[in-house]
Amino acid sequence: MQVSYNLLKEYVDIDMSAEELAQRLTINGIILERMENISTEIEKVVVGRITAIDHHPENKKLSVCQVDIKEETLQIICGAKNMKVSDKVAVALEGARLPQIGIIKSKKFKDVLSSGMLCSASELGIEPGESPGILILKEDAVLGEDIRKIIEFDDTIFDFEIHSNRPDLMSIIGIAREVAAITDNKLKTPEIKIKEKDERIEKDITVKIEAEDLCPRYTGRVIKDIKIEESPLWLKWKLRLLGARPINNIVDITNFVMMETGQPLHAFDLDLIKGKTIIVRKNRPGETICTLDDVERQLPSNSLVIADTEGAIALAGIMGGKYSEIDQNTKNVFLESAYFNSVNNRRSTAKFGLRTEASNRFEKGIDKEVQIYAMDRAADLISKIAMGKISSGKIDTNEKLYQPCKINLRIKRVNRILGQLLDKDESKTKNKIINILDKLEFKVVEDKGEYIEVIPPSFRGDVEREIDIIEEIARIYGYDKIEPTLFNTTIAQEGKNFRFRVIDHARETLIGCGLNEVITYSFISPDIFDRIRIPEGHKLRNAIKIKDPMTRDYSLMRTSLISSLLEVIKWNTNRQAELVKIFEVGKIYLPYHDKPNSLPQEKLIIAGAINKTGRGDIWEKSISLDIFDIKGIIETVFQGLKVGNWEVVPCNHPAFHPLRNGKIIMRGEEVGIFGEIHPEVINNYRIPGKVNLFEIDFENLLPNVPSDIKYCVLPKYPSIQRDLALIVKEEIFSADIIKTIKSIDEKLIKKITLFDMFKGKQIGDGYKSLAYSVVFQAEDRTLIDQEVENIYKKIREQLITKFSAKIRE
Amino acid sequence: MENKIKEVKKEIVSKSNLIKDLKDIEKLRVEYLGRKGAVTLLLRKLGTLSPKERPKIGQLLNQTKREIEELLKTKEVEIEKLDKEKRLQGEGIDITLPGRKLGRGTAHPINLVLREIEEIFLSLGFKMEEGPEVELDYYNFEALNIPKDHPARDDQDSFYITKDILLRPQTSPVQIRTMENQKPPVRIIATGKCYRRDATDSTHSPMFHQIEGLAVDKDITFGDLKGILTIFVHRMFGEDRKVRFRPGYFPFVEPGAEVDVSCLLCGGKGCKSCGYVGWLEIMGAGVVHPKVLEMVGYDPEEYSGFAFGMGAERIAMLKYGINDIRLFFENDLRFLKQF
Ligand SMILES: [Zn+2]
Repeated sequence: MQVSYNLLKEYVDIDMSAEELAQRLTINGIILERMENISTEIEKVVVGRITAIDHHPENKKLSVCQVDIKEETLQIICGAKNMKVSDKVAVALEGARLPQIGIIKSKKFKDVLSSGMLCSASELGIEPGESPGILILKEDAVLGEDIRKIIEFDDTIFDFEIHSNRPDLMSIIGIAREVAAITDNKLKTPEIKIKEKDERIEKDITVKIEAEDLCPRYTGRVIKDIKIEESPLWLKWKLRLLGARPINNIVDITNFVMMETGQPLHAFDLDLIKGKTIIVRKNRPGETICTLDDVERQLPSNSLVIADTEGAIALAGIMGGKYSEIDQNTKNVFLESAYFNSVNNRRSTAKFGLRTEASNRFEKGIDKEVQIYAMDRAADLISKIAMGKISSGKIDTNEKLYQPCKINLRIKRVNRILGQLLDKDESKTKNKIINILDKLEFKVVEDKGEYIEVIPPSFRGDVEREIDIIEEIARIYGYDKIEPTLFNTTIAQEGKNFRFRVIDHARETLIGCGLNEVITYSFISPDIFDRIRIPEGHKLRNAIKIKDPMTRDYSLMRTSLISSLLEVIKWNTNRQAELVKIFEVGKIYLPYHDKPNSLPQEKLIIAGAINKTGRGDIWEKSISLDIFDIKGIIETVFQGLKVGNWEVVPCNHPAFHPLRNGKIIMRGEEVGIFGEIHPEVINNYRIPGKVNLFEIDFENLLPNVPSDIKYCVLPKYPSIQRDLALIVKEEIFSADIIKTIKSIDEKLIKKITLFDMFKGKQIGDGYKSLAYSVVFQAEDRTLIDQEVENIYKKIREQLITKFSAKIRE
Repeated sequence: MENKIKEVKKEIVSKSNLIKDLKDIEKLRVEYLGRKGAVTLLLRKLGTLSPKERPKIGQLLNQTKREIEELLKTKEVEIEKLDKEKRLQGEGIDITLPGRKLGRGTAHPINLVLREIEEIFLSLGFKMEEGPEVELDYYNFEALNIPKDHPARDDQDSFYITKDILLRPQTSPVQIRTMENQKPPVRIIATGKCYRRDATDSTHSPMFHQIEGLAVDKDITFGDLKGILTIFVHRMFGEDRKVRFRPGYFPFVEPGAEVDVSCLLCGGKGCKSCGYVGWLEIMGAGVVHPKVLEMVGYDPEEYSGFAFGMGAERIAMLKYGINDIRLFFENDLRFLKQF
């Protein structure tokens, strides 16, 4: 809501500067969005009267005017056509300063001297854009007087952000009322004197309400014999301060009164209302209307329209129709001031995608009692400015729309919510409360001791219950005056549960492994599935779709973090990053097939990726990052979490190199995948070098994380170590060999470490050589060589039979 | 004989000055003390002396032998020390070469800020909760006193999945889910991702993070809200920060408040980043609306509470002086590595 400091001063006495006022309002909950000082630099512009107008001898488009400025008569050349002899005009003298144009100098137009300039409204900064002609002043403007005496050019514009619960503040009077309450001053509302003519309103108009639920009150007046003109200067200036554009006197008045009172008004050309009847009804099927903005609109069902006997002539509470628009030929008007249902108005504006100053007020709920005041205010101005004659009588379909509600306010409750007595003395507290309510125009109808009965004013439809009144008290009393306190804590809670602690632990480990944490959007584009080679019909393609997505990139919820991390790698390698090691802890969103309307399954995923392209420093240059680096990172995380029993089996995830990816299995359940990203995928992302990546399903991992550590007694007896080298077929997994060795004696074999592996001509194609160190230890005695030798022998036999291994002695 | 001994001693002293390494020492040792060494030979000759001379010469000879041994031992230590030094001299390295790093990664600045805020509230007796990001309209709006057609729904243009399911535009639904599942006292914080239909620019992102707090018990007041949040601001931004509470509107709290902190840059004098007002808005808060309590089955006559919410991106931007929200989600390593 835009309003100015000077404008507010017309409605309430303000004894502080604009800056101080803005500060006070902010503290009391009215947020200032913008404050602008307009000190228009106008100098040497005075009131003059045109005494003669001649054509320029050589240029017919120009007029040569003689202008009396009291002390002398000036000859001024003017390109406009809207002035006539004896009009009063704004004259910029030689050396005058104008906001847009600068300094005015006398000059000759084809030998005819022009000493000064006749100003238009836009040249004076009163109107935005370019005015069609020069500004004609009112007849009572004093000749020779400085223009700044007529218009107060120095002002401060405030633009307030109005929350949806306070539609009453969408008006000058609303803001002024708040200022009055905060500063303890009195609100001054304009007085209205309606002089009705003999002619009765009923002669010209009948109003029928066919949709009473959507239009609970409709009021109107008829004003005849108006003169459509430009608005007077003061009105134009006010509209300028309110941020509105002047159109003609009638439209300007209805706009101004709307902004003054918060009640949207609409003026119809009375003579264009067919059948002299206004019908407020829902639209008929197939009905259309051409609105003021020249758009032919289909009316969706349940649109409330203002119609005459032939059809819709306005969208109720949103916008007028082109057909009954006020224009130069309008003689008589029907002025509408109604209360439309806010919910329906809101739905309609949404359907039309059309939001106007009027609908913006209706949809939030306007004052139920202001209709007549606003209408009469506008009628009064129309009769004064446009010389209209007000017919006697008015339409009012429901005088009793506003039903005051009584709310009990318990004094103790105020203190219980705010935590403090407004005053140490309890009876003084009550007085203070009553005093605040009084300032806000809340009526205290009865004092019942423990509580008081309060009736909120009609413009505060948002106040429905006790708590709403308590907020008002706190707001006006001042939040800053409420003492900060600390509540008693009665119980100790488990602040961070196991799940949160495990997440933190995993993150810390990954950071310790040198990975940088990233956060990527949960949205993905459907294009990524092709990019990471997910075939049609694959479960990863079953993603949650966003209705009416903003862009294709934000149209699905992700089902994997693979593309997210590849995007980050791409971003960084595009910026010459030579080593990218990243991880993310984020969710994926999986729809349930069987329950289409239920919330999706949200799974927390820990994913990491590494990519190296540069040679790095002296130590790093020989190291290439491969799948075992990424696997090592996972192992480190598991080690940190004390997760033991897990194994890796080959996997065929389409995004990975077919022979270089594996699944992590814990207790038969898949917990994660890792591997080298498929070269085709790498190519699709234009990433240089290889990417190795893992994804751990945190939800499946968590049940495998022990919550406690159990200490094991340290061994008392020495261990014996034996090395074992063997040659097996390439496709045999080391993990299977280790499992077999271990199975020979689960108790005495403590540790098996693969310490060497090689392939080569000397051992034959398709074979590899593996070397393990095996540690034997007993908990209750020192092992003797013979014992170890026996086990060792069994191991060799078993490996030979099971894997056709060749043992290297 | 006596002269001969003195001569030998003199001789070895002069020879010892020419010693270069341990081999020279060994040579001298053999030459004088070995089985055929000069001193050994002299010792053998002792028997030829008269019994009167024998003890005196013998003593002298033994003393000389000891002196030679000592001299050679000293020389040996000296040489060894020199050798060691010489060896170390050859072992020079360039200590300015880079260290062989394992390399430590970094936490994302948003998570850094979230953890810091969580720690503060955990220390104040709050418990961490979480809730779904894809949420029911009911928890997002209706249960928070924002019925269908409520104008406040305009403020939050959300991503919908179906008519009743959307990406949560705020973490507040966690309040409702928590209260539905437990009886007071409640004291929780919840952090997480939120989504709004905002086109990306330097201050808007369709995805962002929020921190939500809720405390419900008997006799919790607006004063308590001020108390807790003042402690929070002081711990988060420094003891010298001023805190300001002013009325604000959120349908699920009443009285509602906006919380401002004195500008981190100008300290309240007014500068460009605070719009020349000296204050920065950091969160919304308020006393839980009785309708919200009623809807989860709490009796508002018996219980009251407060709630607050803030944006992690905004806090991080203020705290680290970041001027573009997009940096958080571009994940440029040059940015991430600064935290
Ligand atoms: Zn500042």
